[in-house]
Amino acid sequence: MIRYTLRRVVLFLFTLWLLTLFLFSLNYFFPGNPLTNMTGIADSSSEAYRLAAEQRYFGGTIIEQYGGFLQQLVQGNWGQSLVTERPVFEDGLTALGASLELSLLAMLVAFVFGAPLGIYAAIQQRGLLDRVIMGTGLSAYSIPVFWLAQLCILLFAVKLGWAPISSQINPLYDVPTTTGAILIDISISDYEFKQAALRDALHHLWLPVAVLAIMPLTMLMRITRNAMLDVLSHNYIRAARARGLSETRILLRHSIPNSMQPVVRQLGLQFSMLMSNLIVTEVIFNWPGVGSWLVKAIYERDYPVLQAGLLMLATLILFVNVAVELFHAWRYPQVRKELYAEH
Amino acid sequence: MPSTNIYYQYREPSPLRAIWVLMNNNPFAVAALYVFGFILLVMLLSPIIVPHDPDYQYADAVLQSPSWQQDGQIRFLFGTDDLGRDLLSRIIAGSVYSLGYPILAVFIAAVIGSSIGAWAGMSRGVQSSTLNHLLDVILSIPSLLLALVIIAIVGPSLFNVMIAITLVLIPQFIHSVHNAIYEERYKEYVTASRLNGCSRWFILTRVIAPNITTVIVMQVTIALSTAILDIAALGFLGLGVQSPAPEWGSMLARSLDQVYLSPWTMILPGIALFLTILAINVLGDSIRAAIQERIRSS
Amino acid sequence: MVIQRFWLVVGCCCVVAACSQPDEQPEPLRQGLVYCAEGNPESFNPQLGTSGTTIDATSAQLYDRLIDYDAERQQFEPALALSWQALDDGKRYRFELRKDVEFHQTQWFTPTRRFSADDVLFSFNRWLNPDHPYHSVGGGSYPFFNSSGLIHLIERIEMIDSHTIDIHLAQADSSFLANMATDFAVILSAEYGTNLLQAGTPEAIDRQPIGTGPFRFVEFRKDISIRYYRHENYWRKPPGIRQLVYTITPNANKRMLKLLTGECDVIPYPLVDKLAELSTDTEIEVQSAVNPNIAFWAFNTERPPFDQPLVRQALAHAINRPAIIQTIYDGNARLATGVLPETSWAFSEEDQTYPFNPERARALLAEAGYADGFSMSIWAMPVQRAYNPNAERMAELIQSDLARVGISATMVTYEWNTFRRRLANGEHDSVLIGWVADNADPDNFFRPILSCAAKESGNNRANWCDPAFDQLLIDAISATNRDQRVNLYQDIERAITQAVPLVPIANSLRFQAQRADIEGVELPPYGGLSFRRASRVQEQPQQTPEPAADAVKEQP
Repeated sequence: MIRYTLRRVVLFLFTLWLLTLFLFSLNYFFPGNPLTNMTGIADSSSEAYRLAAEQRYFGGTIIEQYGGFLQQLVQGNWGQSLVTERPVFEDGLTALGASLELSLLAMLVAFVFGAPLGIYAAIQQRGLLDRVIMGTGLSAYSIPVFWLAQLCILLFAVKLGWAPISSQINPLYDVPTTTGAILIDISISDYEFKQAALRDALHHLWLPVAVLAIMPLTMLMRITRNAMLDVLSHNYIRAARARGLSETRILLRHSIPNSMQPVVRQLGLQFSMLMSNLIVTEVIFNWPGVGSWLVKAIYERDYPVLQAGLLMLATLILFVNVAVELFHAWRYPQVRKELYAEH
Repeated sequence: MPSTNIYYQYREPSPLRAIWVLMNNNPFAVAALYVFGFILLVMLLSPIIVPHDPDYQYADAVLQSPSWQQDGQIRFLFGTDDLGRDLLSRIIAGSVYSLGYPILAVFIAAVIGSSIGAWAGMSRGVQSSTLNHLLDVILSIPSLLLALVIIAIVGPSLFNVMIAITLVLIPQFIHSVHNAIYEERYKEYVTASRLNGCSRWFILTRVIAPNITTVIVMQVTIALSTAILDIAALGFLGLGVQSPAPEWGSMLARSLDQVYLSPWTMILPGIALFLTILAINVLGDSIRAAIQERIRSS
Repeated sequence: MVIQRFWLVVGCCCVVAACSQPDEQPEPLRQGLVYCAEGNPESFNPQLGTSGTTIDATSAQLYDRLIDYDAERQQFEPALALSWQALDDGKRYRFELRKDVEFHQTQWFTPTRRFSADDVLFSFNRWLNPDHPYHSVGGGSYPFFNSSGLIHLIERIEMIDSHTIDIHLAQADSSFLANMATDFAVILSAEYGTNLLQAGTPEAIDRQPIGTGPFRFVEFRKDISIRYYRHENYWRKPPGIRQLVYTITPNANKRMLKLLTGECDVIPYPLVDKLAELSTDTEIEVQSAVNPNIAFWAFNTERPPFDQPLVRQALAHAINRPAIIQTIYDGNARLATGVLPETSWAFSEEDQTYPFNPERARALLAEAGYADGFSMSIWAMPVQRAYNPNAERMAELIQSDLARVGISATMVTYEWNTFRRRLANGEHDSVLIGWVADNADPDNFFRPILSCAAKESGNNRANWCDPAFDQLLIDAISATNRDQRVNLYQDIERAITQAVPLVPIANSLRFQAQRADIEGVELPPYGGLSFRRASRVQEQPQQTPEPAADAVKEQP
C-alpha cells in the first residue's frame, strides 16, 4: 500500500508540476506582455510592476522566470485581476468554497440516492422499476445540463415559485464571505438572523444541487446495478444462500459491500464529469464559484484569473481522483494486485 | 436453387458483424439507429430541405408561435425566433454545426488518436506505461475545461472550436486503442501469427485490428456525444460558434431572453440536441452491452 | 454524520420548498431593497465615469452635490450649498455651505469633522488641477468635465471662510449651474483623502468611497452585488430603507423573471411589452420617464474604408431602421430623424436621415470602389441602456441587412467596462451605442460625442474630428438668441447628415419596473436614479425602528 500510495502521490505531484509548466507557458501564448498576464499589473511604469519583474526574475533566463513563477505561486501570490485589480488568490479561495459546497453536496445527493436505487433495480432485475430506472437513466444522462437547468428554473422557480431563480442567498442577508461556502459562512458568522439566512440559503441551494446531481446520480445508479448483478451471479452468493443465510443478511454483508467496489472506483470519474457541468450550472445560476469566475475571465481576457481558475479546477479534479483511487486501493486490497500485475 | 450445402458449415462472423447481429435483437438500439440515421440524413440534405433561408428575417412574423398552437401559422411549422427567422429551418441548418462538425472532429481525432494509440500499444516497456499513466491523468480533466482553455488562447470562432474539440478528443482515442491493443497483443492468436513470422505491421493491421474495431466504434460514439455536448456548451456560453450561425447551443442561449413568453424557442432546439445525444448514447450503450454479451458467450 | 447532515439539508429543502415563504418576513427583508442592476459600476466615483450604470449605482446614493436640479419645477434647489449667487456679471459664483453635514462613518474611516469648504476644494481640484495629489489617481481622466468644458471654464476656486467658497469663471456661462447640479459634480471627503495619502493607498478613495449621501458603502463583489447601508446621520431625512443592495443581473430576461418572483424589487430597462403580458396582477408597476437619448451606429472614421464618406453613406442606406424599431424596441421608440430627440427645444421635424435603400447602397459602394463589398466588425454593447434594449440583437439585424449589400459583418462584444476601454482605444470598425444627455442644452448632444475634444477624451465613438464642425458648435453655443441657435443646430444636423460619422437610430423612453410595495424611487430625466426617498410600504406598521441595534448589526 505504501508503495502504491507513493506512486500515486508522485504521479499527482508530477502532473501538478506539468500543470504549472503549462500555466507558465500560457502567459507567453496569451496576447500581450507576459508579466502583465501573470501579475495583472498593466501599468509597466509603476513601482509595483518593477517589483513584480524583480520577484519573477524577468530579465533573467526563461528557467529563472519559471522558478520565480513557481515561487510566487506557492506563496499564494497569484497576482491581481486585470479587471478588478483585486488579489486573485483571495477571490479564488472564496470562489472555490462556493464551488466545493455545490459540487460536494451534489455528489453526496447522487451517491445517497443513486446507489440504493441501483441496488434496488438489481434486486428487481427486469422488473418494472428496473426498466424505468434504466430508461430514465440513459435519458437523464443525455440531457445537456444547460437545457435541464433552464427547464428546471422555468418549472420550479418561475411557474411554481419553489425556488429562486439565481444566486446563493437573498442579498439582503448581510453574511460576511469568509469561506465562500454559504452554509458554512452563515454557521460561523455571528449574524443576527442566522436561522432565517440559513433557511434562505437552503431555499437557494436545492435547485442547483438537484440539477447538478442528476447526471452522476443516474450514472451511479447504472454502475451500481451492473455491479450488483455481477456480484449476485457469483458463486459465493449462491454458497451463502445454500448455507441458509437470510436474504437481508446476504444483501447487507455480502453483496452490497462487494458491489460498492466498482462504484467507488467510478466516483472520481463522476466527479470530473460533475465539474464540467458545474461550470455551466454556475453560470446559469449566477453562482459565485470557480466555474463562473473562469468563464467571466475568458470573456474579459482576464489572464491572471483565467490561470487561477484553471489551476484550481484542474488541481481539485486531480486531487479528488487521486484521493478516490487511494481510498479505493486501501478499502479493496484486491485491486492493488491488479495494479501491480505484470504487463 | 436449393441449398447444396450438405456439410455443416458455420462461419464465425467478424467481431463487428457479431455485434451487429446482437444489436439487431435490441429494439432500443434499432430505434436509436433509425433516429440517428434520420438526423444524419436531415443534416446531409439540410441545404435542400430547409423550408426557408435560416438567416432570413421575416419582420412581419417575429416570435411566431409554432403551427400547432392557436396563433401559429403553417408557414412556420416550428414558429420563428426573436428576429423573425424560421425555427425549423434554423434547427435543420443547425444540425450541420451541432452534428456535422462534431462528426468531422471525431473523425479527425479518431484517425490521429488511433494511430498514436496503435503505435503506443505496439511498443513496449517504459514509454508505453508512462504514456498510459499520463493519459489517465489528462483524461480525468473534463474535456469542456480543456476546450475552454484552448478557446481562451485562440479566441472563439468555428474553426478554433473545431481545433479545440479535436485536440481534446485525441487522448481518449489514444487511451482506448492503446488499452485494447494491449489486451489483445499477448493473446494466443497474436502470438501464433508472430511465430508464423508476420511483420508487426501485418499483425497490427490484419490480426489485431479486426478484433478491436468494436472498441473503436464504441469510443467513437462516446466521443461523438462528448463533442456534441461540448460544442453546444461552448455555443451556450457564447464562446463557440458565433452568430448568426444557427448552432443549437447558441440558439438555446439566445432563447433565454424570451423563454418565458416563447418557450418553443428554447424547447425545440433543446429537443433536437437531446434526441441526437440520446440516440448516440443508446447506440454506444448497446454496443457496449453487445461486446459484453459476446465476451460472455465466447 | 455526513448522512445526518445530508438528511438535515434535504429535510430543510423540503420544508422550505413546501411552505415557500414564511408569513413573517425577517427584518432584513422588510427593511431592505434589492435593485437588479444591468452591470458593474466602473468605480465608485462618478467624477471618473460617464456610463449610466456607474451613475445609477453611485451618485445619488453615496454623494451629494452643491446644488440639485428639480426637474418638475425646473429650478435649482439647495443641497450642500445653502445658497448661491452670481457676482461680477456671472463670472464669479459664491456658495454658502451647510454646516450640519456629516460624512459616512465606516469600518475604514471615522470622520473627525463635518463637511466644510475644504471638501469642496478637494473634490473640485481633483479634476480641475493637474497638480492635485489625487488628479492622476484612478487614471486621471475626467470625461464629463473635459467634454463639458468645465475644466476650461473654471479658473480657480477660492475659499472665503470655512463655509463659503467662490468659483471664478473664465467667462460668464449659463450652463455653469446646470453642470454643478449634474451627477458628476459630487463632493468627496478631504479628510479621507489625506488619511489615504498618509496610508499610501490613494486608490481606495474610488473603491471604498466616503461621501455625504443618504447611503454608505459596505461592500462590492464584482458581478454579484453592491451593498449599501443607510447613512443614519444624513443631513436630510434618512431613507426609509435600512439596506440597499444592487445585484448585478446583466440578462434582461432574467431581471424580469426575478422581478416577477420577487427576487428584485426594482429593475431598470424592463422588456416593457413582455412585462405587460406577464403581470396581469397589480404586483408590478412600470414607470417611464422622458429620457433625452439617442441610439446610434458610429463608424470609426479613422479606419479604412470608413474614412470615406461614400462608404458611410452606403452603410446608412443599407440598414432597415424601421425594422429595428419594430423588432428591438417592440415599437416603443421613435425612429430618429436626426441626432436631437423630439424633446429637445432645438428639434425640427425635418428628416435628416438616409432611407432604407439597398440598391442605392450598393451603387454608392461601387462608386467608392467596394463593389465586391468588404468585411467589418460591429461592436455591440453588452448591456441594456435606455436608448438600446438589446444591442446584440440589433447587430444581428444589421448583419443580415449588410449581407444583402455584400458586406460581411461580425459581431464583437466584451464585458461593459472592457468594451468601453477598447472603444476608447479605437479598436472597433463600427459600434452600436448611444448617448444620454446630462442636461437640457442641445449642445450636450453634439459636443460630448462628436467634437475633437471628445475624440481626445475617448468619447467620440466615430473618432471624427472636423475643425469646421467644431466651429459650428462654438457658434451655436455662443449665440444668444434661441431662434438663431435652433437654426445653427439644424446646420449642425445637416453637417452630420453630410458626413455620416454616425447613423442615428432611435430615441426612446427610459423604463423602470418595480414591485408595487416599493415607493419613492426617483427617475429624474437628467441623471441617474435615486433611492433617497425609497421605502417599502408596510401592510401594518408593525416594525419598530431600533436605531441602536444598527451598530450591532454591522458586519465587517
